[in-house]
Amino acid sequence: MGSDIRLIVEAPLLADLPAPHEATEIQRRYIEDFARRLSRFRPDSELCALNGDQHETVSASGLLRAAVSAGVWAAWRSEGLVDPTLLGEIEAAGYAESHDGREPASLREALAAGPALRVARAHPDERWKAIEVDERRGTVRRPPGVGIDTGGTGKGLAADAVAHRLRSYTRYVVDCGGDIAVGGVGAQLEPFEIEVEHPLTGESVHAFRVCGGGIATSGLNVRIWRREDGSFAHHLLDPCSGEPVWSGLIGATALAPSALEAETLTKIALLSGPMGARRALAEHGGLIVHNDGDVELVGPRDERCVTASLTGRAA
Amino acid sequence: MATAATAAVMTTDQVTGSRGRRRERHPLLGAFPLSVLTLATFLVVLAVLAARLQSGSDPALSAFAGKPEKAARQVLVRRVYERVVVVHLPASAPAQSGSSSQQVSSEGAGAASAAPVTRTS
Repeated sequence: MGSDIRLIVEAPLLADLPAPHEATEIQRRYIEDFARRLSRFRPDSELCALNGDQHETVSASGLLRAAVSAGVWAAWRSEGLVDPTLLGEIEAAGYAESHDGREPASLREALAAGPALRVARAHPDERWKAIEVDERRGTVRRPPGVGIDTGGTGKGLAADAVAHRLRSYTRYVVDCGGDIAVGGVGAQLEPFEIEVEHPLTGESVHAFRVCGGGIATSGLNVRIWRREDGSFAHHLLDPCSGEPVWSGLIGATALAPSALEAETLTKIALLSGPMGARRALAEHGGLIVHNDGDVELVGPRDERCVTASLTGRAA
Repeated sequence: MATAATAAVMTTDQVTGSRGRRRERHPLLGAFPLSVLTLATFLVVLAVLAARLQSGSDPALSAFAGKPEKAARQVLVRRVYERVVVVHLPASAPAQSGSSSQQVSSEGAGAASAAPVTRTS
């Protein structure tokens, strides 16, 4: 996963549940197992086994089926913009190996180079629609040669999965590399304040009060590198061209009923540019960061107007 | 008797006549002004309620909003986070339990005092 994981767990609702410190250890091991089995950088992972299998239909564990289903759901939710079948394209763009521990290229320099601004479009072939997950038979079916990358939805899915496992605790935060799930009856009464980090300055630019559901941030400042020809590339690709997209935005934060949906919305926002981002974030709220560093709040911010599970306010 | 009866009839007629005159006067003098007055009162009350709603003080929700509040008691709330675990998961780490991750855990409010942050990673 290549990310920091942070868990905050308060008292259990039932006396026979593990104490919070035991629960966090159990969930930490679960996340480590989750990351190990679904990493596309580990040859022994279940995901790599799936992508390396030449058969059209492959047996898959419940976790792998869930991860593939999440990727397909994100593609459906984004109308093909967040496409899990871009494995070959992301490797060709220079992200075939993990960048964990590697210093990212300078986003400021990348922006100063003046990349052409455009928004992403879904691939007309819609390869993701050919992926089928059969829960009854325990299989994943996809056309041979179509590689699947669950990285675009993995952290959100992991946060939601752990949140589900912690649902019998009064108040908790599951932070999987910035994709955060919040829950517990206590959080309804006393929401968590989640701060948003600016992708250029690293400063907190806003705080959302979240009493349940998910919040996620995506940006161009971490998974960014220089190619051999000197050009800059990052990990958010246009499904149509297979190339990194410079849409006019360098960061997006989204609120949603789940961390998975929040993560998906941030990617839709970044791939769609300012206009599309405002539409994507209008329902649940969030913020976008423009190329010049300006921060723009989007969607409902009045606590009386937002959805029942999420509240936002200015810092 | 006849005189008395005549007087009684006259009195009744006078009374009836005077009531009839009052009935005639009501629609002419009272109906329109009364309607206007009623409508005006209704509109004034409606405007006052609308103004209060717009200002955020819904009278149905805050019946005692206008009363001065008592001085709030100062209550010290000390939240204790039972456990905070921060673990780093390298993307390509070997499958060795424990050795591949850096774990920082802490009891109490200190490590948890910093707000959760959503960021790119």
